Amino acid sequence: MVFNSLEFALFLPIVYLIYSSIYRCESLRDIFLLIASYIFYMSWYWQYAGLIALSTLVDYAIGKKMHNSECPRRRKLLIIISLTFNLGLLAVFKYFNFFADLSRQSLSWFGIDIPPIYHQLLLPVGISFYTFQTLSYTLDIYRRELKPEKNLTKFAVFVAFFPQLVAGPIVRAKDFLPQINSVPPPTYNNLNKGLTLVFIGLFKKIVIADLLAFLAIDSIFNNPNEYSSWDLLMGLYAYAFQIYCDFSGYSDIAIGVALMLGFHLPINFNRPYIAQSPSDFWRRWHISLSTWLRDYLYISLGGNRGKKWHTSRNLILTMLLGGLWHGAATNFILWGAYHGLLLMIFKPFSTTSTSYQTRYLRIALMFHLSLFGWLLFRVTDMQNFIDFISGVSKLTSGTQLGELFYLILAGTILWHFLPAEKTREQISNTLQSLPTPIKAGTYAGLLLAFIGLSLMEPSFIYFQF
Amino acid sequence: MLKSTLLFPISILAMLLAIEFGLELRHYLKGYTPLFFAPFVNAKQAYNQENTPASTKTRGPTPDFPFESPIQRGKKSEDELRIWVASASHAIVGADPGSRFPDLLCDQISLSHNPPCSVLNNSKIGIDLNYSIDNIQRLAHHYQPDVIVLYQMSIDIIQMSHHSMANDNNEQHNNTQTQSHSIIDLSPIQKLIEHTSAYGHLREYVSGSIAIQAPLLDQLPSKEIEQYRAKLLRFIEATRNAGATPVLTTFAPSHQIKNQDDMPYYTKLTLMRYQQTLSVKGWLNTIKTLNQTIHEISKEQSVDLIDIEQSMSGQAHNYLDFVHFNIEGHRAAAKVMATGLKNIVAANNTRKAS
Repeated sequence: MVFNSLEFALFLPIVYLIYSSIYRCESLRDIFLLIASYIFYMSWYWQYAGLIALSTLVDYAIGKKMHNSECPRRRKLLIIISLTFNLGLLAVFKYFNFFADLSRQSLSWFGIDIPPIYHQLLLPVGISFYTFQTLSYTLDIYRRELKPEKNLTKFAVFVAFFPQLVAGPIVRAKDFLPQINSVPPPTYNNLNKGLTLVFIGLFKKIVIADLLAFLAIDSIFNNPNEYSSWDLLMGLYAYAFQIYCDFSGYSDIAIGVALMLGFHLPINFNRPYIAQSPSDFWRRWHISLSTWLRDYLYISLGGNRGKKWHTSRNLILTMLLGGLWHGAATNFILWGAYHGLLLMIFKPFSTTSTSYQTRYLRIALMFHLSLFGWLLFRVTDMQNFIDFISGVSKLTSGTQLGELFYLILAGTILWHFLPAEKTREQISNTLQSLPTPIKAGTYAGLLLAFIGLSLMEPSFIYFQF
Repeated sequence: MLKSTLLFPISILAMLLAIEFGLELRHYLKGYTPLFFAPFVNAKQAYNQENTPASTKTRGPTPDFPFESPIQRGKKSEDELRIWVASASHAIVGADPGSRFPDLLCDQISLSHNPPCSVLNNSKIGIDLNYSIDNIQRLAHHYQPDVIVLYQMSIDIIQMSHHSMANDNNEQHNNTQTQSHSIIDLSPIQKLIEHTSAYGHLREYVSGSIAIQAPLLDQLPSKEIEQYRAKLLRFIEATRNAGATPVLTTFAPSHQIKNQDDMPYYTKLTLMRYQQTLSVKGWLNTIKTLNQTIHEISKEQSVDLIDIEQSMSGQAHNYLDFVHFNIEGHRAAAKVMATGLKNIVAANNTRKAS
């Protein structure tokens, strides 16, 4: 069930009410959270609940054995098993068809024809997220940065916790398991803050991301030849904010729902388009994934400890795999490689500037560099990319896009780029501190607006990862 | 703690119910039967029906006479002309019973010629061509119509546009499972919400006004048109199997492509309320294409055709919105159809005589 659905609107209050009544009894609370999380996951495709359960059991067992073993070879073997199992799941469900097809095409260039080998297995929702989550657990144990969780139920809750199960943020065991063990209470304050975050997330997703997609983006990218260069550029700008608002909106809802239950999830986005450099961008965009890649891939490859070309190699490899994580398609790999290249090129320069003029120049440059990356991310194939680029290069003017589109885009850009942290905080605090009847009226009105706008029905972008 | 946390969501729910009640009260005072008031209105109607002897009921639908027409009692006489109208809301909305175009058909036919004439108005709000065909297959043998006139298209166009949008979405999400499946069937709750006045308003004023600004399709894909063609052929076959003469009609929209910009904003909103795939131009283009299809089938299958589009298309003063007639529109439609039906009946009689 998606967050902006009738099912979730019924699911969440029921879960919250029951949880609020039983949270003091630790074992009951854990079992209830686990059942609720599995019900949430099974609403997608119930058969794959077995997969997440298997992943949980395997990594739980490996974590325990690894911690209890002093033999380095045995520990290494166990971590290899965990990596093979989790990455193997990804390989089978997510990448098998892509690489099988790539291999077949490559062999055909040499005149070797093999029959197509595909499977019809559906991609389990959230597999990229929960496999990385369980991997972080076993890797931290291997590095002796974490002790294994003794209670299987608590560990299973860590893996399957429904607010962040299908699209993040990816939580680390060392941050989340202590919370599960400390029984955080669902206070009224947390309910208030959490609901505010949920509504902010729904606003970003429904009012900004979905509307921009409906009003222009989908049509522009599906039929680039029918639009002027100006409209194509506007579509690309809009897509940058669609994907940001879609994903950060989902993260806000996930963080808000978790907060309602008393749990604190890490923030996943921090106004990424005010980044002044590629490394600054990756400290602000999908923070939980970029830190995961840094800690478990980049550093494991050697990080920046070797020669310059080692560092460059590690950067490109990390971002290439980061791109591949997003999906089994060439454009995601190219997107990842592109960002790896940017990181490599900009590495010698400082990441931020204190000078007023250069700061805004850097922000503008980085934003437009990321735009090109989003073009690679969004296009459906090479022809789509060529059509888009050639359309832009014609430098034709004129627009088919309506006023509402421009209003939403301009408003979003202003809100994102203007230095108005205090205003943002004030709005959030004001919403939370309204008297209950006025707050209820505001939220009721917002709910109706969201329902009205949801009748166009696109889905969350990052669900396909 | 539980009390204070419960107060907040209960307040939101209370607000939503208050808004819904306010909207429904407004609708009820305007003469509609909205959701909360439906049980009372239905109970009142049921009481009236129970207390009205069956023999005094003059108009269907009843359990024994499932038509929106004066009840036909006794057997059909030999020289009677019985006309079955297969339509949807077009044949019901916009006028009181007795003033709708099916009811006026016999009077119009009788103006210059006087066969005993009766009408079976097999129309219902929201039904499509498949539903009409099923009814013909089930009931026509019993009621023995001479002619079955097909006059409905808008629900089928709306279904085709939804189908086309659903296909696009499925293609985008081919290998992923972003469509979730409820463990519990929530469709009754979904239907209940869709019947609320708030939902109707949101659909019309919020999503409708946004849809107008979106780059919608200017034409339905040809595979949808092909499916409609197949449905028309099924209608013709079902009618002939029932021993009646099929009559096709073209669809007359309130505006033509050349004066689409004259369509009032509210009319565009109601169009967008029902579907958000086709633009106004797309809607009119689709009707044009479907009318062309009807002309082609009429020739191929030697089926009689009444070209209502030629006589009534673009006459916005005859319409309540983008499809439904007002009282003047019903009268005008009745005249056009009656003229067409007279010619068809005369031609049939000539064929029988020869």
